[in-house]
Amino acid sequence: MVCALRLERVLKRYGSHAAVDEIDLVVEQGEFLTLLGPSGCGKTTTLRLIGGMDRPDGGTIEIMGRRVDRLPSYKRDTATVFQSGALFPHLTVAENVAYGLKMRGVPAADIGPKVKRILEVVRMPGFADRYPEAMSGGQRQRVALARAMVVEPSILLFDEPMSALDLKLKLELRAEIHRLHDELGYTAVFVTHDQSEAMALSDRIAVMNKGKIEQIGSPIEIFERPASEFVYTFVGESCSLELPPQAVSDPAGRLFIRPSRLGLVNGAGAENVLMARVTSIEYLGGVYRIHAETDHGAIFFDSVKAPDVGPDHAIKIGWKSADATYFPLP
Amino acid sequence: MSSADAISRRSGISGLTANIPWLLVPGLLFIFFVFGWPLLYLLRMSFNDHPGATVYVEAWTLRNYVFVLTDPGMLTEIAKTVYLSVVTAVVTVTAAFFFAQFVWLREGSARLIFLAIALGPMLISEVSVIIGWRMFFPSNGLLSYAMTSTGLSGQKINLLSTELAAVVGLSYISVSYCFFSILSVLNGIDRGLLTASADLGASPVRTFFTVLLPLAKGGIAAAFTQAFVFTMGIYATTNALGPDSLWTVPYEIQLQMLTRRNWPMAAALSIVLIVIIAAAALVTQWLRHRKGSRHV
Repeated sequence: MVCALRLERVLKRYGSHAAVDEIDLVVEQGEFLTLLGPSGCGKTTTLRLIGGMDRPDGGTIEIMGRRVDRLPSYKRDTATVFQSGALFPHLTVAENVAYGLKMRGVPAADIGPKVKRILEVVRMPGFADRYPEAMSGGQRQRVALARAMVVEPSILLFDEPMSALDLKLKLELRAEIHRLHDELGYTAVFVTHDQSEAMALSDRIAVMNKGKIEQIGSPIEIFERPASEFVYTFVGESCSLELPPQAVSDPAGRLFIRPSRLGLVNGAGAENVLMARVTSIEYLGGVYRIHAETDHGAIFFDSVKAPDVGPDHAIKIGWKSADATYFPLP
Repeated sequence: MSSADAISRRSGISGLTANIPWLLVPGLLFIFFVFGWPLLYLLRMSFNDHPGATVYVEAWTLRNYVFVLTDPGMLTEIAKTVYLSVVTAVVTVTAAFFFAQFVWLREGSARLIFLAIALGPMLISEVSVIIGWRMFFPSNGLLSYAMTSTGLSGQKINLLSTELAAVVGLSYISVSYCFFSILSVLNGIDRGLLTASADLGASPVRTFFTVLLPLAKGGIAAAFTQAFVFTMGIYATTNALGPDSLWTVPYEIQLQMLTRRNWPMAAALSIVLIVIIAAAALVTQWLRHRKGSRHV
């Protein structure tokens, strides 16, 4: 089966700065892939290169086996859900959704039923005659989703579609996108800086940093087996301990561990034990977060029980060797 | 005294002052004396008589209107004025729109340079504009020289005293105003909509007609009215750049006023001109708000 999207050594420069630095990426048909990274990492630029809103300075882009990197946006079989929605304010919801079908030359008789069906799919059937200005942000994004999905593109692109919504709407729309992917099986490239969005939606996540893909893998792989310090610290909470060189063959490095895998130890019940001094305790609702200072750096961890220690108390912290990851200093 | 009393007393006082818009009085007085009074005077003048020797004789007659609206010469002039204004407005709005669109899609300092260029025609008086174009169009002018020296034309060409020259000169006078009213409307449009349109498969031409033009409709209508009104009222440029046969209503008004010394006729022509302009403005307003217009 031909893959839905293939990027080879794709490069985009702004001046001397490489926003996208020769990245390779393959997305299979029906796959939901997320480009995750901090702002300025090149994820949105990558999306724009796929959609044809920007031209690459090098490399090739193929969609369904066809090379498209020299084609303008309107000749590519992609459709995008934009951050702002970008609904046409002079058109009704039905006209907005019909727009792409019309532009792609779908016969007029087929447009009506398709629009009606997709509005039912995104649960907006009563909104056909409304104008975008008469709707909430969440409703607009549903229409934007319908407008992009109705043309049945080879790849559906999402450019941080939920970042302008409040938390409740965000979770709703996230569930909706997930449900629709399960039902319709479209291929998607989703851009976000929100790791929980990436975790919840994706088949695979590509973590980007400084124009490069640091790691690509399933959400579990990304979280459990991060390939670099950057991935470890960007995805999920982490603590790190500075380790001096142990031997000539073993240079200085950092030991990373998830706070959720750290715990207080009383006796000698853990594989690794470290002495620490409590600096502060915060109540986060449901759990207590204990900040502590060790000889190797500051760490924190959570405890469901109220800790029987206070600031300046000496404590012992323990963890399993399998839960810690060591990265040598660069 | 209860607090409810205090509230009602207070709102009573503020309601009283709010109902009498005192602050509007100076403005209203200004408008009345500078615009209203002369207009009423003009209206009154248009019903006076002009027996011959004197400028006017007080009377109540419709003779001037009947003449203006039935005389074939006058009707031709009215038709020609409207025609010239429509052509000029179309040319001006088209030029202004594409320049405004060009500037709209630019960023930063490039944008400022183009804005400065667009301001240019506004800063030049009508007389200078006329002199400038009179140096550009004749057979020994800049255009002719450029055409012959680059080999585009074998012989000298003269475009002065043509309708083309008149339209160019008239457009030049209103193009800046049109440019800025269109640009202000374009600035209110999310440029992401053009991206979205292309993303959904629309070519640039289709995006222009299905997204940009409908959204900019309000600005285009305003600019059209502006150019039309400007052109309807100008006589010097038309006269200095256009052919001798191009007699427009403004030209006729100055002729009646200054040469024929027939003030009532000039007044009647002016009223007719004002009515046509008002009608044109109303029609464009109506077209703008007729249906589905989401932008003001």
